Amino acid sequence: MPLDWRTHRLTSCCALAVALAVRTAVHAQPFDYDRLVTAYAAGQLGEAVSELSRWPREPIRHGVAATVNAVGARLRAAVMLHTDVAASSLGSDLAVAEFHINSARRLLDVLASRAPHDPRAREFITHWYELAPSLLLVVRKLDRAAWLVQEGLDRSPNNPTLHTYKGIIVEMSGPVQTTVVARGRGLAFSPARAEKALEPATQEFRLALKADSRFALARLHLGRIHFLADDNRARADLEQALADATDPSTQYLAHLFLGEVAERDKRQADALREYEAAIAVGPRYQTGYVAAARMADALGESDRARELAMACVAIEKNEDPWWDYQVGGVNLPMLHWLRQAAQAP
Amino acid sequence: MTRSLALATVVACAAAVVHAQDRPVFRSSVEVVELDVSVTRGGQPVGGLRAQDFSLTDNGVAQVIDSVTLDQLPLSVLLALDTSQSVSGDRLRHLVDAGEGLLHSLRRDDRAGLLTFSHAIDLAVPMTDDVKQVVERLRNIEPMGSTALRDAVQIALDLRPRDRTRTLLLVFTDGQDTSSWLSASAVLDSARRAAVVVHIVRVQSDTFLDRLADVTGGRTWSATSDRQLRELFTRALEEMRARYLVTYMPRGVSKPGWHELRVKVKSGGADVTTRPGYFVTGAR
Repeated sequence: MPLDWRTHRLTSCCALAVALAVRTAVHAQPFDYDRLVTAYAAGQLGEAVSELSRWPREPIRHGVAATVNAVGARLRAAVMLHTDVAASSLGSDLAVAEFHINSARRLLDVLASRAPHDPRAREFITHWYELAPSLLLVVRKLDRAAWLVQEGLDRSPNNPTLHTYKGIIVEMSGPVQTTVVARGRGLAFSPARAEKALEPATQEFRLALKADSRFALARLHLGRIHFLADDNRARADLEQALADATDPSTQYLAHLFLGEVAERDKRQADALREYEAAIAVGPRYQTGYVAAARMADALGESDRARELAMACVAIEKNEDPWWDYQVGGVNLPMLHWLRQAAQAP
Repeated sequence: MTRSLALATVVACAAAVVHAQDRPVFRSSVEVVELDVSVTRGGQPVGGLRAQDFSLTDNGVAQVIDSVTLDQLPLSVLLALDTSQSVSGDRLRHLVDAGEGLLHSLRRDDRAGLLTFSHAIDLAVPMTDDVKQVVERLRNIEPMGSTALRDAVQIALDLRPRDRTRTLLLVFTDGQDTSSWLSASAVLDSARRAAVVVHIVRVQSDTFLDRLADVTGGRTWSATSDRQLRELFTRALEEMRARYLVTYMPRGVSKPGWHELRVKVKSGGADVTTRPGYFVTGAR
């Protein structure tokens, strides 16, 4: 296979050349931290994040130290530059991700101390803490996530999102059985034990709702815990979560969980209706179809079950809030808000 | 009149029982039940058995077996393969090889389909007699994500062919379920209703999979190394081929609900494996 061999060699040579060029470029230029912050603020997120993620730590530390004297807009851009590098490193190098989260925290400290009464700065800081723990939850760094949540609550007491994260962390990190209850559904687990194990999470969700009685995500989690604990309040909680939800993900999950409650109450036709409502809200999410197909089967409607199964495999499946509910998901709306704030003058 | 027509035109097997549940005229009765029955002695299939060699009870009532045949109907084999992140490298290579081995062992009138699952479930190739298509798709599997085993089994059961072929669902997984919505009991309930034999090749022990094989009259094989996969896949197919198709008309057991079955070979101390029962939906 001489042609293949030459092609391979050529590719290797090209790759080496590119690598050298990059190395030369990196070494030829000083580590210009300011330039990357400017690029990020100007909307060149990919380039700035990609370059900073390749830097060694020392010039980054120098860059952060030099930025502490910058104005608010540059500080916000620098915070989000580090946050985006952290987000992009989570899957590959947790140590790098944590280093950049800590760099962002240091800059946030500066922002907070510089303008303690500036509502814009305060809002940015609050939202950053509503994002950062979600990054760590995705990779199950629960201790670090809990630590960030507490730091956020120290800055913004009674923040409903942070109390909700705290409850979710309890769901994810409790004793093994608790984790199973929170994340899976297959194992026998007495409702009384579920209730006891999840009580600290319940308390956090109640605190979130005390701060904002219409905070749908906390109500959703509370409703699900009530379901697991065989508590009659589950249905009312989930219906309230559905009524308060403004995003399709929470609405979808509320329908799924209401279907589950209906199944337990032997209201199978209601369960199927809830699962079909979940499909209507999230037609690109797989779990609604799975739940509905199984329910149609249980009702003896095997042709309907087959139609639902066919629809399930026909959709393009990139995401499903149920997957996020179990393993945590990045708070994307907050990430987008912060990026925009970082690019504002 | 409607009932006579049904008897004349429909051979309602256990699969058709499930079909029949959707047709009001059959809903409260079952005309004929067909069972895939594996008979082994010392792990080896026992051949040459006839109707009179079997005894069968349906909800405790002895039944007259009408016919026993071996290996006459074509097979519809649905491969449900775990393609989560852990199935990569050598394991993936051996899995693809095992799948190809099985597909090449199919006969001309058999069909195959491929369903892959990680956290997402994909019908990579719907049931087809073009086995090359399945082989081609097998070779392009890209592992990723977590494992929604129970959800995938449910969807595979719902996608079973509704025809006269014998359906084998062959499930391969190398890990535990991490992201399914459905509970084990819900999927097992669906499996009881579907006339599908589920064979399982697994790497780790898993109570759900053991129960799934039990309720469908299938078998479970544990792979101690990836190199075994090809042999186990082929063995699963051979086991299915060596099954008897036992047919009887239920008598004295017309009520809807679960029908518990007991099948034995009258002499010789053979091991008999078949589904433990079937489900009849009541009229609504």
